[in-house]
Amino acid sequence: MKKGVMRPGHIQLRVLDMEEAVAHYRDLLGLIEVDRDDQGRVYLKGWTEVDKFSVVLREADSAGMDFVGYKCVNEGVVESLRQELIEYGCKVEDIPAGELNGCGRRVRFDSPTGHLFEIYATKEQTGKWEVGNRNPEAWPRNLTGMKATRFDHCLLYGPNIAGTIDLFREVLGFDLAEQVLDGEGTRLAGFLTSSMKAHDVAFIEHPEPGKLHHASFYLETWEDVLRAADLISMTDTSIDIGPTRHGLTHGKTIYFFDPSGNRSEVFAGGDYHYPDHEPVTWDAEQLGKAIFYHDRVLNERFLTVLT
Amino acid sequence: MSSQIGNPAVHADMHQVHVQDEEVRFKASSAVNLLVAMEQARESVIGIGCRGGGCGKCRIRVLDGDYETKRMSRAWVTEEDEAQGIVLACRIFARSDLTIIAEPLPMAYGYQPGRPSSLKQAELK
Repeated sequence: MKKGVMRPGHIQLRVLDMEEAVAHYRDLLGLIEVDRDDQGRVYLKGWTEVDKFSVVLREADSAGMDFVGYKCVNEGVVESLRQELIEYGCKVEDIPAGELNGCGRRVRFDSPTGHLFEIYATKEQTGKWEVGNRNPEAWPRNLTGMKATRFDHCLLYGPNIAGTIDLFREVLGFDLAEQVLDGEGTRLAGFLTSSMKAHDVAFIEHPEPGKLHHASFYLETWEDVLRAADLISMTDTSIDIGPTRHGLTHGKTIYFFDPSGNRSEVFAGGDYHYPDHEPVTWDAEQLGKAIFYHDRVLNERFLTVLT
Repeated sequence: MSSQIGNPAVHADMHQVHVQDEEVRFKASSAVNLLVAMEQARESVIGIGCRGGGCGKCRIRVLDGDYETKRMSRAWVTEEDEAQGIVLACRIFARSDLTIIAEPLPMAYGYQPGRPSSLKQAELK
């Protein structure tokens, strides 16, 4: 049941070398660099996103994800969900407005899988980059690289995904759109949505807490995915797998790594979800086909290479 | 010695890499990281992961030889490790012939099964 959480709003990633990371996210993915702060963090967004930023890069001694934040429809929702999170048993931390440039107060909370999440309702709206919302042209002519349109979702690995999935469904009002079940009915993976998208966040069971599998960015077409593959080769960027199609969500995809080892995905297409849809289920013995619909075989790297 | 990392104008030297206890040797250009050199030689003695110093799959110990390093994740290689020659192959560049051995860690440092999650565990340090 929807409870006022709208969409993935931002993800903060740790990188080992900021300028290399900026070259990846800005010049290769084609995100727009919108700001830098006095901590040295770099803020970026996809050109179709109306809010000021959706990706924050922070230079650190390790790679991975600091947190991912979800935007709510208003501050009242943030306040009532904050109380529900406390009652659910989460440790909650209030992050003051302005800690991220242009973002209002955020409520940060922990989870059984060891990831940190945030909800917030206020962020400076700078509009779709270079086109705005009054008689907008189809696209800006000065985009670079893969021309990624938006930060779409992330896939997170950790222990006790049952706990985090329950938190997202019961407290935050996400729907379970797809899942992978083993022979005993244990859920090995869950894909959740707060919208009509096939997924706004996904979880896969894994013993190490707090791991990032990938941050994903949306492209318009399969042709764009192939062009992304060309750019990955042209720039000698570390590739994981693709271009291919997923069984899960049926998105058309390619995976590669940023210069600090965080996995990126760009994808196009994919299924949609309404609140009355039953979850789509994949059986664990079909996992190869579920993840790589064409190869139908899992590669070890996809399951174990995490940051 | 001036850095050759990312500087194609500098002449690249070729070095021999010997994998201890394995009948494996491969050539490594000083201009590419050791993991990519291994991949180019179509060998598989080191695990291949992200190739960016983040995931830890290519953790090795250098038993002999000189190399240059780029920053690598402290989740997998501590300062003490690095002082003992433990590195991620994707973040080192050969500066002489090398003798290495794979030294994988199954899980990142700090992993404790069953430890309850908390904000403190994931502090943004």
